[in-house]
Amino acid sequence: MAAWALGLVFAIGLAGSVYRIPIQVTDALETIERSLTVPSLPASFASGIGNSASMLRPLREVRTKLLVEIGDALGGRYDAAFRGYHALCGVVLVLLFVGMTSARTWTDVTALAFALAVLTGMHTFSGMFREAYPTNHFLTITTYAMVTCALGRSRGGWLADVAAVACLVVSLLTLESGVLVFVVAVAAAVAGARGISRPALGVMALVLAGYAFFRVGYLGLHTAGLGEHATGLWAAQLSPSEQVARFGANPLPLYVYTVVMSGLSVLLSQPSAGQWTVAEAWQHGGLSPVFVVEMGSSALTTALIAWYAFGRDTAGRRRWRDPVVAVFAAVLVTNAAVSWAYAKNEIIGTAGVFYALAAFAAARAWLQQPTSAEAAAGKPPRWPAGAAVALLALASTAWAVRDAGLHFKLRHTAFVSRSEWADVLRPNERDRWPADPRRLGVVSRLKAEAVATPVPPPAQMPEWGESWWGEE
Amino acid sequence: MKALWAVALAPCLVALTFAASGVAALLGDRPLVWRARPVTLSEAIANRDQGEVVRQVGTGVSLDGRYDVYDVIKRGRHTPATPLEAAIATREDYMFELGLAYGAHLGPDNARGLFCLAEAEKATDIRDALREKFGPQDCAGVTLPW
Repeated sequence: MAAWALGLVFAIGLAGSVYRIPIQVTDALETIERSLTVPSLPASFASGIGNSASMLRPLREVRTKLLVEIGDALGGRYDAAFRGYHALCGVVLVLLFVGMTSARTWTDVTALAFALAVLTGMHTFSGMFREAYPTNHFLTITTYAMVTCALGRSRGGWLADVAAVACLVVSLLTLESGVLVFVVAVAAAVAGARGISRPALGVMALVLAGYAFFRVGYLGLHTAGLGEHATGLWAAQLSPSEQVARFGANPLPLYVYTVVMSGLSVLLSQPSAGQWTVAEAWQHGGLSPVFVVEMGSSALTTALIAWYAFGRDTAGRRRWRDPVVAVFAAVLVTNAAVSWAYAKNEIIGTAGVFYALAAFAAARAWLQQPTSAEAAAGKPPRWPAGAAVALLALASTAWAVRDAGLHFKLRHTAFVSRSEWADVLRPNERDRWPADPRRLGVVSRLKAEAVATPVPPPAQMPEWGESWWGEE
Repeated sequence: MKALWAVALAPCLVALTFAASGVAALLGDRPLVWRARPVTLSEAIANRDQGEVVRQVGTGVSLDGRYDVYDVIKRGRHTPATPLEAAIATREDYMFELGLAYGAHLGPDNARGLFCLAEAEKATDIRDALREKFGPQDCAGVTLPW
């Protein structure tokens, strides 16, 4: 009960900040307008299959269409539909996380408080809530990956099998990173979780193969390649043209760098989107507290997870075989691998969530270990030494600071998203307004709702905020 | 058992704070933490707050009025300014353009004053745009708003 209450407290705070972000214009308005031109949900699905040379994301179109229709049903309250959906997804993810920890004792709940701060304080987590296109598909994939992991650890049955296959299908048709759902199912099974049966795993493999054939063999879609997005390299950021100039002949070194650094960023909070911003700050003499807090908390937590993974359980088995650890490792590697073309914090967001789950298992074990005196006396586990608790308290406090930073960043995002609407339907550019009355009506309504949301400008935010939580 | 609170304290405090703020935001449209303070139209421009500018103009606030600007143009001081003057204070061409796009008056009657203010504030992009549209301006004897 205490665990669910704690989760709800985190979830409500997240929902409150996410809901107040207006619908963004970039990467969202175009999709919303496109949904107005198709007559039905099946037509949206069909349009999502053939509207891109590199992406197969029909369920993104369907979700958008559905939310527009919900907005219509609410009397033109599109903001409530889209932002409410995003906030609700955040609540679901946090509560799913709580459910997966199965926290029951006070020690468990303490470890959960720490893990929830890790979850919400991760730099990869904010990306899933700071952007919406007009829904955030990285968040969708992460949610389905969590559901699949929970199914794998369940008692199983045909319902679990069907649900696992459905999670994979929905994920693959939402975003290419949907492959992570399959990885989660396999990793959980390999680690001994038997909730998803072998036949179901076989069906999932067939679904994945069918998806690959449909995407590459039938539709002939290509994947993201060199120079399609900016990405970091050491202390710098490379623009698409710079990538082509430097790696056009052989992009492999850049791809390897991006994969390795994407994985490392989950463990150390650096580099950020491939760029070692800490090095850049150091070079310019501006090493602000954000780097100490972020890298320090991540280093401590990664060390804690490593201690847990390489330790032994009460039966003497290495704990890296614990499904939570095994799934985290598999997701980290795969999630980093799918980031090969360019690094972006939200792409690696799924691994960030499983990192927090591993942090929970490690923190719980850390709090349960006996003091050396107790162990020598053969007493049962009671409480660790003060220094051990103090160390976890230090990490926990640092993560709490980062959690507050999530809300600071979400306020900034709200300001940016609201500002974008000033360029839409400018009174002095009426010749560029949509001619279609329905489209004009929806865009006008979206703009009115976006600017009606009161949002503090950066000038009203604390000046020290950027030092402690970063610029974005 | 007593040591547990040390680990859970900070995360719980932060979570409770933002949960209370979130509830206030969801129910009353007023978050407790980092809520937007009311500003005048010129303050919104000076803060580069494009969304707030559009909102206020939409409610009928005139882009040609003169409004108080506190602690933005001059630290800790009240500085009355028109929205276009406030845009010049930001030295951002896009804020000046925003004012014009949403209906601020710019003509021979006020171009000289704005040009001279842009010159004084080193808002070079805005100054050059004014010069291009209205020609070179003589700033002798022009009284600047601050």
